[in-house]
Amino acid sequence: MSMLYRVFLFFCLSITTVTAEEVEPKALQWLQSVSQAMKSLDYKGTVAFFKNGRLDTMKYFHAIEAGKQQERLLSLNSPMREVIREAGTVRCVFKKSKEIVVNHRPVSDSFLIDLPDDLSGLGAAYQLQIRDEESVVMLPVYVVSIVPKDQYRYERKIWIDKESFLPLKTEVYDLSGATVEQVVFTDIKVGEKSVFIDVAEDEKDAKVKHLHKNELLAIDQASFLVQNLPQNFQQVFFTRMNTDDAEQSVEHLLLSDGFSSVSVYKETKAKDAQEGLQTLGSVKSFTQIIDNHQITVLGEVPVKTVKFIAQGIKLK
Amino acid sequence: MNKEINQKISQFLDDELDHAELDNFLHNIKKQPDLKSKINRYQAVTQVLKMDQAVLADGGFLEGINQQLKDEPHYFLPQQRAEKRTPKFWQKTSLAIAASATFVAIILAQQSGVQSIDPVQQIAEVHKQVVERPVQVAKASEPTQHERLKAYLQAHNDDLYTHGSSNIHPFARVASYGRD
Amino acid sequence: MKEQQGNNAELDKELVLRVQQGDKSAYDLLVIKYQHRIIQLVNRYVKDPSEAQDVAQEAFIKAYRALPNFRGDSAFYTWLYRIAINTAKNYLVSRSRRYSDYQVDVQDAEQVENAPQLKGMDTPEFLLMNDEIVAVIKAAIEKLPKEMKVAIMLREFEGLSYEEIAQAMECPVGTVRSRIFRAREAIDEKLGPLLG
Repeated sequence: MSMLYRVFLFFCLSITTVTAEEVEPKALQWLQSVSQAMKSLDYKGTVAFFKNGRLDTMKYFHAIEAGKQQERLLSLNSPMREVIREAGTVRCVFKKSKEIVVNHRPVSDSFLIDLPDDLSGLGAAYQLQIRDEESVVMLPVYVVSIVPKDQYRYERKIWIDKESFLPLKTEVYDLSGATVEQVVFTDIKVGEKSVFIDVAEDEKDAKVKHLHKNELLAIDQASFLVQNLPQNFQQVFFTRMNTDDAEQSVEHLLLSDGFSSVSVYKETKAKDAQEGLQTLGSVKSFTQIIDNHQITVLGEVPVKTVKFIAQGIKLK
Repeated sequence: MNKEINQKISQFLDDELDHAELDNFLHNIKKQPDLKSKINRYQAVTQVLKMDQAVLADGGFLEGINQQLKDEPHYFLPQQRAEKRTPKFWQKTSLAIAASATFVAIILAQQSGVQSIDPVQQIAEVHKQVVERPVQVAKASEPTQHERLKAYLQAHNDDLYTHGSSNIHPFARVASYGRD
Repeated sequence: MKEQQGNNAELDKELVLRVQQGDKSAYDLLVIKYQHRIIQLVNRYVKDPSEAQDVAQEAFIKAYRALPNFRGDSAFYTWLYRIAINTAKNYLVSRSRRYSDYQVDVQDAEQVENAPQLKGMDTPEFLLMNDEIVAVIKAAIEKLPKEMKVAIMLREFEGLSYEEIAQAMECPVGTVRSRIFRAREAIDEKLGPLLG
């Protein structure tokens, strides 16, 4: 074998090796870039949200200034509303009725897509695959599939703008392959400054309601234990919500694997409480009755997941 | 007591049961599952008298159905039919095609100086979906199972914002659940 | 045979609504109410009572899954009827693929009458049971006091409402209600040991 041929062979093998290794790390890298881009860029456009057979289109704005971020949605259809996320709270302003709902602890971090804070642990539950290169809103994109390694969660895909690394489209599929959710830009402008809205101004003449102002409690204060958790699911927060009946409260524990989240609710058993599976569109829930309590596990996850978690819940 | 409930069965089968009595009737059927056999036999009489023959459900008919539905979740909302996803380009999801077509239509309209078409209208026409049925609020003061689930869901995620349903009133939810 | 429409559709819709709101047991009532009719209907296609049971069960399961899509534009039974027919037709198509020697006509039920039978429905056990049930019911009706017999016949044969029967028999609605109920109880006494 000639020296030249050996060099050529070594070169070919090196490329192959590098390419094979880069598939997953590259996808991970892109996701990290997405996370960074979403927080650090000014961008705006029109976004279509599709879920549970319902389609809604909203104007979308992301503004940054001096390290502060503001994300804003403006509805194009009734109910006419403006939704503003800033500093960890979300305000939903209903224009017609002049009512404002302020959520002090929204579950998601973004209206577009939630990415896990720590992407490095993703590999335990998901496989990242780079699919084709396509176009969305006439921009070239990378397509990353996030494929679950078990049947406890759904597959998702993200279409990432090659230039800005913003997520131009995301889809979530159930176990049968049906699209259960889609978020897609129908037009986008990156780099153009958006105005920061003064949220205090809206509250002046409005009826304001505050949600989830109650403090987070230590997870071990929950009166139940969750003994069954699929891989990568962790307990995120625990809180107690009061109902109209002062003697009753609802315990709420949030679990998440970074992409999929599941909530566990525990309260006193209602008269019409029914055990078993129920669905509300793409959301699955499983209710168990233990003693005089009803425990409901729900989330946008397969039936198997809510059932598995629910059946492992024990009262302390 | 039995005579009373049996008479209700007779009325139920003749569709002569008052709506107001339906709840109580359902409750009795749940409490006394053998009443279902009674209903079955009353219906058999009807069938024989009408058709002059008896091709009847056997005793395990309902049980067979319940066995199969045992692991079936209860569907509150219409189910989507699964579309097989393949890598073939012509099998992209209809939403993506509609969004692209709408986008193109908007661009064309803008270029020709025509007032831009309402993209929402375009998309909505392409994707007529069955909307969630309005919830019939129970007369009882306690929230129904469905209402409870919806309240849980609204505490679970932030869909209220991006999918503001016209039949979800934010303050009604807050008044009954999650009041802080 | 005149079918009573008014209250029929409303009560069924009420039950459907309860199922849609999470009360699975309300579906049990709909199944029991229509099981014999659906089996009878399906049997016109499949010509085998035991297979008719299976196909009818499948129809009810399909209906349960499709219930969120039921908007109440038609009566529940009309909607269920269409599902049952489609299920029966699909069954015949798949059966004809399994037994390729037979050409199964999947047109309307009247045409299916002439389709070759793959399994005889005239098994001795079936005929015996069928005849016995019919005989017991007919005998029990014959023994009913006249007013009860007339009331139940007007209800089952003519499909008259209680109100209409009351007018025909010139008695209060409550009396009609009671006569029909007592007639059923009397027949049930004989039928109970057979059907359980």
